[in-house]
Amino acid sequence: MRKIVYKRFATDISAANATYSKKFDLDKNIKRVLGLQLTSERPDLLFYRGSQRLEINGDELYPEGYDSRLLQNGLDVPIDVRFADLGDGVLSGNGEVKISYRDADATLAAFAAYSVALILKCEIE
Amino acid sequence: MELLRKYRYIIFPLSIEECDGSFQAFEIPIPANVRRIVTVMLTNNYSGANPWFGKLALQSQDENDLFLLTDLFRDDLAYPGKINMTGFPDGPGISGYRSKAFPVNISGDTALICGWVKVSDGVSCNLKIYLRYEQVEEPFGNETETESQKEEKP
Repeated sequence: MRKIVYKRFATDISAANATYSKKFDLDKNIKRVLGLQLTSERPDLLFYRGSQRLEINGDELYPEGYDSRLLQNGLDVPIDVRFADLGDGVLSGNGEVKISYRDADATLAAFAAYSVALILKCEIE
Repeated sequence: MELLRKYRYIIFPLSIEECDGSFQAFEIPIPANVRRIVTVMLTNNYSGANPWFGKLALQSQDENDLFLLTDLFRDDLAYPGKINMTGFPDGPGISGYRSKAFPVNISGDTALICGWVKVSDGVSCNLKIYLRYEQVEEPFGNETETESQKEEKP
């Protein structure tokens, strides 16, 4: 029977109009990444200001400039569809997750320090 | 051997300055390895606080028929063809335009997707049009050969 775990990786955004690149390591027992989503304690800033490039196991999932809002959820979203579909899953391989998040000015969201959390839905062995 | 299905994206930025209510034409370059577009998404950044509406149409370069003609940002959330910004209320698990028109197969000679967009009078905004396509490959990173690669081999 397939076992699912959720892994959370957070990045602090401390300055406006900057790019934040971070690398995270998946646990060795993670076989495949099935889905992902982005959250923040300031969902408005993430929505209007954020974009990112995301790579797992050397494989680019989302290119530079991919708006963060496309990976966010609202309260009305059913629980079962809150994760972005990665097709048949991404092999964890070397276990490296790389995110390059860019904060950019937006007229509807003035900057204040916030954090961005990447949540991965993973299958373990 | 199990094949892994992966999604890739073409992101096309499109700026509209004080739209006069008419359609603005654009062309999206298509990489040679794109064979099937599975969905279309759209985001926008604009400073206006009032709701506004528009239309988006997409057509393959060598096809006569539009494969997408839809309203944008309608208030009626039940409208099946609406392209929305996603995130509120739709989430990433069900984002994108969904209809019987998709997936759209791209012929080997197609190098462009032709498009037309219009928004409400006087609106200025920065749109991003996302074309999501499938890439099928064998495990261990061996990508499926494209037709042009097969033709190049003696």
